Amino acid sequence: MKNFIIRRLVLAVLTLTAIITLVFSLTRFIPGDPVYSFVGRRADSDTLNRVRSAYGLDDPVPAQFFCYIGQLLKGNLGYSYVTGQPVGKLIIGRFPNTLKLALTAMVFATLTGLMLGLLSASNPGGAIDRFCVLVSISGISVPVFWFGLILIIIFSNLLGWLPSSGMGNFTYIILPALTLGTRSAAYIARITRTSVMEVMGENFVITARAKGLSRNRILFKHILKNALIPVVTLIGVDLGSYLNGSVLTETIFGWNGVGNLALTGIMNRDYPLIMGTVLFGSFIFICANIIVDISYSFFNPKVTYE
Amino acid sequence: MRRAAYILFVFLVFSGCGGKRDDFNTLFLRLAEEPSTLDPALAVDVYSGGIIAKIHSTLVRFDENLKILPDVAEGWEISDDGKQYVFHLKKDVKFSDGSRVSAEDVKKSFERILMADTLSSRKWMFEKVEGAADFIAGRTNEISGMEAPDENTIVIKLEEAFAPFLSILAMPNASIIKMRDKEITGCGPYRIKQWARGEKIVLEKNPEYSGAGVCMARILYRVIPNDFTAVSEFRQGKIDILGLNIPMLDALEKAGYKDMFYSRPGLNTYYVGFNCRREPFDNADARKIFAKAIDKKQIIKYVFNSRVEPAYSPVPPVLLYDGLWAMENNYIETTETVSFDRPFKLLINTSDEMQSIAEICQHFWKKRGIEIEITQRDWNGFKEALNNSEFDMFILSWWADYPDAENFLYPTFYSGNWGSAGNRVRYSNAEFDALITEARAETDIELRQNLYREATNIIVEDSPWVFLWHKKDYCAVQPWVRDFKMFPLYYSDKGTGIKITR
Repeated sequence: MKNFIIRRLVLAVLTLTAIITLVFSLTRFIPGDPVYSFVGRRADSDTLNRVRSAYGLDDPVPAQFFCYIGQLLKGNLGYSYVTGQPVGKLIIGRFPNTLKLALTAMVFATLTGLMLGLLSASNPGGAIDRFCVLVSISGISVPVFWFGLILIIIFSNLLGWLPSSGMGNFTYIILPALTLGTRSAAYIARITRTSVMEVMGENFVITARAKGLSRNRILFKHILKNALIPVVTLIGVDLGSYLNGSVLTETIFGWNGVGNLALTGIMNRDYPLIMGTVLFGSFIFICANIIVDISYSFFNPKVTYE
Repeated sequence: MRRAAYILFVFLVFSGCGGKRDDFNTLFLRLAEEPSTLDPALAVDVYSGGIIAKIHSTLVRFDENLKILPDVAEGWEISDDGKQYVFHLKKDVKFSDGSRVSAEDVKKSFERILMADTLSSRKWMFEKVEGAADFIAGRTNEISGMEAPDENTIVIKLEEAFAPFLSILAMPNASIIKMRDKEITGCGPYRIKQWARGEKIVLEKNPEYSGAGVCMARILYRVIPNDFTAVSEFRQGKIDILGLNIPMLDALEKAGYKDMFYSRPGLNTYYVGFNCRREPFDNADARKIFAKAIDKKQIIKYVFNSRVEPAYSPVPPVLLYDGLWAMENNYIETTETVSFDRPFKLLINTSDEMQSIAEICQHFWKKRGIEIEITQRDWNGFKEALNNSEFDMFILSWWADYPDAENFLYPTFYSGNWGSAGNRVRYSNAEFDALITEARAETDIELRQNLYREATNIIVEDSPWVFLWHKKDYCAVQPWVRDFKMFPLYYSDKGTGIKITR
């Protein structure tokens, strides 16, 4: 177990280094120059050069890279070109919002997904099953931004029940959480269905049934725990990606999270901010994966890490 | 079952009427983008400029008809040779921290724009001031042409007469500020109460403001990047005034909000620019063939639903006092076909609107035997390619910094402004240069307008641009907003005068 974690951590550091190098090169080599985001459309070339040099953008790219790495090693993510604030502070400031949205979406997705999956599996081929499959296929196929807009039309414009943008009391989180969570819910439903049906055919389930245990007891106590491993993987990975901030959902609903921050960074060519949000996102994603791997042994003691 | 349906129906009907309002002291506005900065010296976009105008004051300002009004200055004199400006400050203007605004503050605010460390790209505003060049280069500690002989007087001397200077002093960048430990304090009708980045900016009434007409206790700007969401929020009554682009306008019109629309001609020109340093665009006749191949009336009709005005010169008609010329009648599309040995590169940015316009232009050119390749770049990459002249043609717009025809002629066509300074087509014509230089220095308004017209005629004749259209400004205003005025310039709206009724 200990060796496993150490090995994963070493791998994580390597992955992060690769990501930094890749994203850094990408930002520097695609066309465009951050100075044009700050100077407007009527600027003399002297000012352009001064701004460029103030941000260290006139240094050769390798020098900029090693300077950035040096800064990172000191725990400094750099300063936003636009606001001048430390990038770390900006991300931490937005993270609670993203966390709130991700958790709500995930709770919704897990509950709905499990429920649909179990309903399907308990009577495969029946009307309920076919309905659930239809719902989950729709959920997977629908593009996120389109679904978000449809929700706004129905719940904000036509019914006037829920606000379409901004942040405030709990009503504000409902539409973004539904938008974000639907796809996961659909996947969870499908995986749960398949996995539960697979486990249902196993010998220990037949034994349990022969013992005369009640249907629900078999389903929840014996089948579900064994069927959960792929579901947990899915939840963990999705949650990891939600915690990066979901650019589309956050933009549609004006949710002030990390995804919105990343988008602002990209629009302005705010290199430190782009690097910071990508790095932060990758870090969270890697952590989520490690936690998922470790949790397998909890659900199924047969899983070992040697 | 029937009963349930009934309950649901009643619920739908009553929940449908939104727009309940319990706050009559706050004006709710939308920001499509977070302003990058609220520092007057650095602000270059409309979002920052619009907010800065509400928290800061300038020496003079524009009213809704583009007339210059006193703001911090109560009066001013301009010498007959147009070189010396004397401003007399009002004695009761205070910063929001309670301290008085003195001539020294005005001087410092202007100097700050020219200081190298400030990194402002608005130095051109003061480039005509005596000694500005030396100050920018760091050769002097003070601008020789800017003096504060006493607390209430500021004297600005120009190297030569420069007619648009007074208008330039109304730009938000020329705000009178007080700097203390990097904190900027203003003397406008409002002050910043809260800036929650990515979410909202709250302004509150500046208690020290001596001017009249501040009826709102607060202005709340909400950052709503998505147009669709913004329209939805407007329909729910959660935004009081919403600026509209054409898709938003169509959406609200369909939903029955037409009565709430306001519009007025915008100070802008959309154009196709040619690379005048590259063959065949170095020749005016060739440029004209390209220009006349485009049937802009069709584009205006089918893409914009006739909601923009066709352009026949680079200058919006209102700035040349209309009734100008019969250019419209001279404009005849060509039907002759030509052949060139290569396809041409048309550079555009990545917006849906630009893409459809570019594709239609491509079609028109193709009808005349001209092959076009469209290259799309994101906004930043687009600007870089423009400045490096990596194009045969491009589509862009030019918006007024200040309401003077000079602003549509000098930066964009004067040969000393190639590249990032505004003349992106790299046009050069000695006759035009001489005329525009003379016009800038002409103090008599009639003579100046005539010179502008002559200069404009040269540009029209030379066609370094294909003049496309002037967009109108549109907005939707809720019925409970009273005394709303639409301003032709984003920074002439100081947020005063407007009220919310119960």
